[in-house]
Amino acid sequence: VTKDGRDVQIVICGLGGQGVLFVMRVVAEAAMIEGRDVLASETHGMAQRGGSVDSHIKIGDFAGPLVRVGHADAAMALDPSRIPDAKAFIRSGGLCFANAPGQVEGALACDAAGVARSEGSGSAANLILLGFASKSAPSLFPQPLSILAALERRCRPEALEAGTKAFEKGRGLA
Amino acid sequence: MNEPELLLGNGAIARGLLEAGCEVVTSYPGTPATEILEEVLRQKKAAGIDIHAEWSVNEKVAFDVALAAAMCGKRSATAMKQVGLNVASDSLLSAAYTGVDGGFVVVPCDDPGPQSSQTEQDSRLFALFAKVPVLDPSSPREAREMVRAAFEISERHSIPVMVRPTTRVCHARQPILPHPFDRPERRVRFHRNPARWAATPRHRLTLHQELNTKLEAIRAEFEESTWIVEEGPGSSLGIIAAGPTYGTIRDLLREDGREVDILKVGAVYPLPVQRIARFIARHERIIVLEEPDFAIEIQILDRLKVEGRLTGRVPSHGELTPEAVAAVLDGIAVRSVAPTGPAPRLCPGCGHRAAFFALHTALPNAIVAGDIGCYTLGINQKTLDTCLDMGASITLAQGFYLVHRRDGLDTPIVAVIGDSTFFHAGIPALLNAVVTDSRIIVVVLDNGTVAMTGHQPTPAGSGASIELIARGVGVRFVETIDPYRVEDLVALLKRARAFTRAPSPDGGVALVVARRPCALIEPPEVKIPVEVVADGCDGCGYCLKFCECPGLLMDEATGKVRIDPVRCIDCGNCIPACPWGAIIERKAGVIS
Repeated sequence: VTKDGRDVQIVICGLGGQGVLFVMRVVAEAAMIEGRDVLASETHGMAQRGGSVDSHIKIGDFAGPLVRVGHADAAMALDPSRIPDAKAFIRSGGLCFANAPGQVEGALACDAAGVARSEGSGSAANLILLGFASKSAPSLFPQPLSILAALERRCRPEALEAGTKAFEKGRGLA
Repeated sequence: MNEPELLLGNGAIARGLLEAGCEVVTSYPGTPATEILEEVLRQKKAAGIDIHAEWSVNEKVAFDVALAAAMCGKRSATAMKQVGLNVASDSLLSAAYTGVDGGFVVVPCDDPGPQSSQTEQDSRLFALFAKVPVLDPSSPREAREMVRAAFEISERHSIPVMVRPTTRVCHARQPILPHPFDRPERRVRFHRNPARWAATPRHRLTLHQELNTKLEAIRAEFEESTWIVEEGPGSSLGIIAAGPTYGTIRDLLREDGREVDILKVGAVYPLPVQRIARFIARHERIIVLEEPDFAIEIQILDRLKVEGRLTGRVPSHGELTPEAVAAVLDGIAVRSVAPTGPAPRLCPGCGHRAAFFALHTALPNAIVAGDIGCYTLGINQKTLDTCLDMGASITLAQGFYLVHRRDGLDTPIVAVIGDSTFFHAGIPALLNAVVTDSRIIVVVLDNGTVAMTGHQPTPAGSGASIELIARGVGVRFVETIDPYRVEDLVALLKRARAFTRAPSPDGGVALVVARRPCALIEPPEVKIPVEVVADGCDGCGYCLKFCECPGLLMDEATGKVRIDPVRCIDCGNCIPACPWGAIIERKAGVIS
């Protein structure tokens, strides 16, 4: 758990253009703000044209960039098509969070895309799901204040308000 | 204020270059190397440092420009993806002989997997081949430190030095505590010495001998190097690991509560063979984990106890993911864990998509040689037949034309190449096509940017003209068109085809520039919202196959195509893609 200094591994699965790297950056930066060591990995290149994009975040004493299948404490599927991959990453007792309109077996689902659409900001689904996940599993994610501080660093000024709102909206759904 | 910054591995390398007082940095974009120069540009601006950083026209040019700076005593560096080093290799091998006066660091970025490349080649083997030292970082932090060490080795021994990260270092992120920047204080001093810089074969023999002496001195240094680190309790199994596989095996052993000795080898060539031999002697069995090939394993003198890629213990292809390393450790077959999501596609509104649709419509039986860039994804539209390497569209097309003509066949042969790739490697190829009177159609997809790697500039920004270059090498059919004008492009391609078939001296090579800015930078200014006429669509799937836009969806319930309002950006290019005319412009306020 981040608070008491235990190591945490998080995997984010999505598609190119869904903001996988942005969520990774926010979580990793928030952990850094809390004084934790972080090792994260990104997917670049061809995959960013709508293909599968994964990001791994390891908070604590780690040396390797990737999370082993079956060893993540938490996983997030930003796209319904990536739920099987996200689920494959979590350890027994780990939590999977899915952007999906209905119930999902083996995962905590939140209709982040639907909520984002109804709020008129289709691109904010990633932060809604992050809010939902971080509220549902406070021991696995950095504190909300750290995440908000990271958002302040990472968001373009004109997008900060919408980003913060999306994150809070997601927390409200948990 | 000395706070850590969460830097990408490539950003850490850039930081290392600036901190070491590097004065000239050159690069050509390519995954996973692109962000090195991007980060140099960002960090130098943020810190207000005046150094020269350039996107060169290709990797050989980049290499030579940076090398010349080091020939004049400056610290310089060049970065590229691994296949870029193939392009620069002619210079690399010769520069190993001449050496340098200032520090010269070459950063080729390897791509095990491969994630975004045409090969899984190992640049460390290139270092062995070229006889230049190579360091192999295991993390962004180590990559930053190795850059400084590489400059010091380079200056101490007057030799180019390679720092070789892989994708998992380039694209990892880690908090990096900034060190102060060294001021670039090395004044330019070119020592005229033709026996060295313009060496003839007789002098080259001397230089080769000197190079071998340098390498033995560096090997002796590496025997004592802090880049070789041993850890572990004293187990019977010993693991030699390099690059990010070090971190992978270390985390995996901890997770599984296993205790195994690890020798982390950061200095790979010339391999400190005595140090390695001592580690091997203390263990009953040795496994070597390295990527992508076997640069360490092959240098080990006595491999009796050693298992690795050469013995088959470690798979001879693919990335050493945690799952793959676990399987190697337990001696079981590696289970593949490929992601299940969709494949990459051209973006909605991409001008390349419209051009490929027009090409398929105009010349459905053509053999189409593709090239390297976003437009390699034209393969999704069943339109591309080949993708070999940078510039090979135009050269392969010539070969295809040659053998078809020899056998009396009149098959249309088309080369499709992007603007940046044209400047990089297409110009000599086009010249050759003219000289050999190869009757091919060259389609240059010009979106004004290097889009695949994140929109780096092309020489067009400095006034270079594809049309004038084509005319300059002797192409007489040069036409430019907006690919959004799909029907006009179809007609133009048919005219180009006719030109290639006309008898000499009237006919020849035809070149068509399909020019339209990348839709990610400039979305279409004229909005053409579309709809599918419900009783017009019979669900044939032609549009899905040949237009292939992410904005077109097959509705499983109705068996008809519908428009995805989230993805569609109203370019209207799918309208001609319905053979039944069922995709139409949606008029404001009218619901059909």
